[in-house]
Amino acid sequence: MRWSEVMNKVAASLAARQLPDAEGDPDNPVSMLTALTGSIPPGLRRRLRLGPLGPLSQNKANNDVEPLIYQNEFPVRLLAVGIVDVAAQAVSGASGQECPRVTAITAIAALSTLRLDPGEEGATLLHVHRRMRAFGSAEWTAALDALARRTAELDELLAAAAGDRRQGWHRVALADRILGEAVAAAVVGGAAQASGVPPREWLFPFHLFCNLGVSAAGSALSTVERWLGIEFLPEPRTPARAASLAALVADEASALWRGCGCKAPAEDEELGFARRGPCRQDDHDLRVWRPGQHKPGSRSGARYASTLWGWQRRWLGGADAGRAAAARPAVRPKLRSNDVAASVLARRWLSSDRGFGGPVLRYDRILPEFCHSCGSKVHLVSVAGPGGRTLVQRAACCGQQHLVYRSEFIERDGRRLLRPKLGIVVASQSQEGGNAGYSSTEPLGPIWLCRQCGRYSRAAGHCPECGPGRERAHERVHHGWVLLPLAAAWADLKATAGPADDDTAGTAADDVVGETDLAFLADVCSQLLPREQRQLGTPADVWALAKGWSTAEMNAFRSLAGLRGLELLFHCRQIAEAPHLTAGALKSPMAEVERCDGPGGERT
Amino acid sequence: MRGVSASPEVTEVLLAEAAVFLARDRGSDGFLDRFAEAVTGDPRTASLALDRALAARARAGYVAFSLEPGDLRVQNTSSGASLTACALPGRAGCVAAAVRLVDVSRRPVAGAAMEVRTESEERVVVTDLGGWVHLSEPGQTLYISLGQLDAVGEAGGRADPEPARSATAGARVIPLPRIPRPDGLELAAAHEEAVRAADEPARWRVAAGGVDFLCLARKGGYDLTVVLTGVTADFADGALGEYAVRFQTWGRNGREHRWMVPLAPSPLGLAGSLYSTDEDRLDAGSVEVGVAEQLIATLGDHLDEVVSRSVRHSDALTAWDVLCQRLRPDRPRAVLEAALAERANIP
Repeated sequence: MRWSEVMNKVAASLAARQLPDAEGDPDNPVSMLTALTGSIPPGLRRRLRLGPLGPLSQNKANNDVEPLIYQNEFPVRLLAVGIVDVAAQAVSGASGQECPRVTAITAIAALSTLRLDPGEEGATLLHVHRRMRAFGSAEWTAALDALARRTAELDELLAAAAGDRRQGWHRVALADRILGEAVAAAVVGGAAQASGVPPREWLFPFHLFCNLGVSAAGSALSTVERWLGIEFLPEPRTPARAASLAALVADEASALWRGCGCKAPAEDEELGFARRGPCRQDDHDLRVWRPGQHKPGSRSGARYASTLWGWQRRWLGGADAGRAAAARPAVRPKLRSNDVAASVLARRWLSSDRGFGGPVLRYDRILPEFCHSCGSKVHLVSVAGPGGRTLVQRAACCGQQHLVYRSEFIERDGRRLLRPKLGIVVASQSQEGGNAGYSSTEPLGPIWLCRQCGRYSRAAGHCPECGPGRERAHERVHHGWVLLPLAAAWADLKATAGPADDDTAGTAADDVVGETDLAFLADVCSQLLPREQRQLGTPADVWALAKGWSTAEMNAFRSLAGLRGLELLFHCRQIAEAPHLTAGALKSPMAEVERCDGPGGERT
Repeated sequence: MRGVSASPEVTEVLLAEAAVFLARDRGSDGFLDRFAEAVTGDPRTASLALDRALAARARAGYVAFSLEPGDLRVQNTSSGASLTACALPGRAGCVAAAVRLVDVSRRPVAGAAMEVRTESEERVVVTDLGGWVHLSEPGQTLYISLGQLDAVGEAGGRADPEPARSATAGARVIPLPRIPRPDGLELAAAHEEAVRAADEPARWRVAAGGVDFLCLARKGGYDLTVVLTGVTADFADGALGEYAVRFQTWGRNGREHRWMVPLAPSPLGLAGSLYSTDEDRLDAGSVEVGVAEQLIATLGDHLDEVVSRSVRHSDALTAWDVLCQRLRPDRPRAVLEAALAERANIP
């Protein structure tokens, strides 16, 4: 079906539906199309509030500024579940395809190239038509048709993987996984290649493709965020995220054009000007890949990679992958022994910074929380917080809940073995960026894992549960990731450090103004004011000196002491101006727990 | 996998408070005490806000300019950051403006304070995490001062002082990126394997004078796309051929070339491309964004040379056509018409 027909159907269908529970005049119901194109998303509401961050007051005169800001965010709103369904129904009704969701993805991807301005429905539809004419070239139609084909391929592949028990994305329906993955992968994979535009003409059209891809990938990411209750960084609807996704899309689209990475020793001519197409190696062909199933001919029972982290493999082939295999479908190609699992490739790729300073995904150690009293694993409940955010709370398990970090065990051949939990962590490149969902234990220094009971602790030779350990009773772990918000288990871990093992004393991460910190501040101040000989024996002394500084002195201090010094100054102020507080009071682990702050700056 | 989001609001609000405080405080003795009173938060967030606000102020530098509906301004600040501002007429006699600030490394500057003055009021606004400020103010002219207000005031207090430039901006020559390959078969966007160790995506994007140059080296020549990000889509939509970028390069044979590229709306902002050039180095100090009619009118002796070369290497002539229609029947228009006619004969 032509893209323009899809667009027509979706727009008309949205116009025909009325918004349920619409606010306002019941005699003048609001259609979904109007609501879509005219509604104010929560993010914009936040920006519209009064204050230094809200330059736009709630003045009606600003109405015309809203679309100016947010018109590029239309596809994000489109991905609201109800609207996707409407679009899917409209498209399935028009095309009669068996999988409306697949075609809906195409429609959404197509819609993401439009900028619909709020207004009368008739005007909006006209706007759609006008835009369609602008994008109505044969190349675009072919590209978007290819999207649908590509998405359908993915649909088949993912359906084949439905029975694979190793998929760990719980509570998310397969169809929704398809939606998230397919939008990103299909748009990235399909549009550039299927357009038929040679690379030498890519410069400008390529960015159009990228824009399409970024928009749809961003939408998919937003959906994933909503499902998981996690908001990745950079934040949604920010240029930083768009840049990050653009880098992703640009990389992948160019990689797609190059073809499979295994074709490194290609001829220059081919590299520069010839369309490389699918990989020559049969086992790199998409149609050969059977997610999670046994690889034919494997003596060791090896299986094909599973689905979730197989984007790289799918991208390797591109939209027209499998042409070679299709030419001789009866022959099952042999596998190569040096094949790297797609999941490994994907993880490696995800965990690398692609030069844009955005977040990276790390496949890393997670410290699970268990109740020390009843032995049960902590259960999490998510509740809706203010501003549409998801707050995660730990459910009560027993009357004496005492949460600790403990490794899980697995039984194998009658032996009880530690089973470290690995998971995907979204981590920022910069310290300031923070991490989503999890916080690193790095500020605490190395941690140890007791082989006997699985408890994590900060003491090399002492387990809080088993007591002093023998040689090799504890395994050193450089770092791990703990669930945010930090709570009782974090306080417990911090309290497990013996005096000799607490190598984090004196760091700002502990919110402590200890002797080391005072010595550090005194050293900085002596460099800053070499002629002044002042005794800085207490936090109050430090604050008495610092509070009189001018901006220039403040800047000089900051350049010497950094963020840590600034933070210590504010701690000194807190201690100096609250006489009932002492430095010791601030050292209390419970005080830290109540703050619910993470080392990366996260909080609920 | 479950977790909570990193909450930006607390930090963002505090950052804005810190930035506003920095902009308004005179910086005299007792600064930290006053800051701690004005910006309330726990030590960690307050110190982080102060640190980021000070860093933002340093990255932003200072500049002052005025803005009217229909204006597009690209300003270099004293720190080398670039500020892009565009304005459209709003309802009820208001002017709606969007301002974006990116530092010398093209990263958005969050938490930079700007003083916005109109005929009737004056206030301080702060860039958000994306470096944006969106304004809607009554009146027809906005006077915007970024950064250290005192410094700008001492510079004369004019609305449009001389464009501030970083110390090296005027003389900076940027080598345009190329893949060092002997046979010259190059395709920037589509292969990295040959230079995998040395290459990186950002290498192909050169920033100068607030304009991004997207580079593509290929067998048929060197392509340059100039992109002016930081303008809103509405502004871009109505600006076909209205603005242009003028700059100077040196070819591989060492010859000096001047270019003018009229801008057209694109998904990335305002953009225009040059195809199949032979350029090797860019004079960063020569990059200038302005109203196309004014830029073409001030080409002087270089008019024929610049227009014919730029049209010959242009990827799309729509913006040139629009500009041609807008020009008065004068010499620039005649030259442009001749160049377009010549270009039309090139297959």
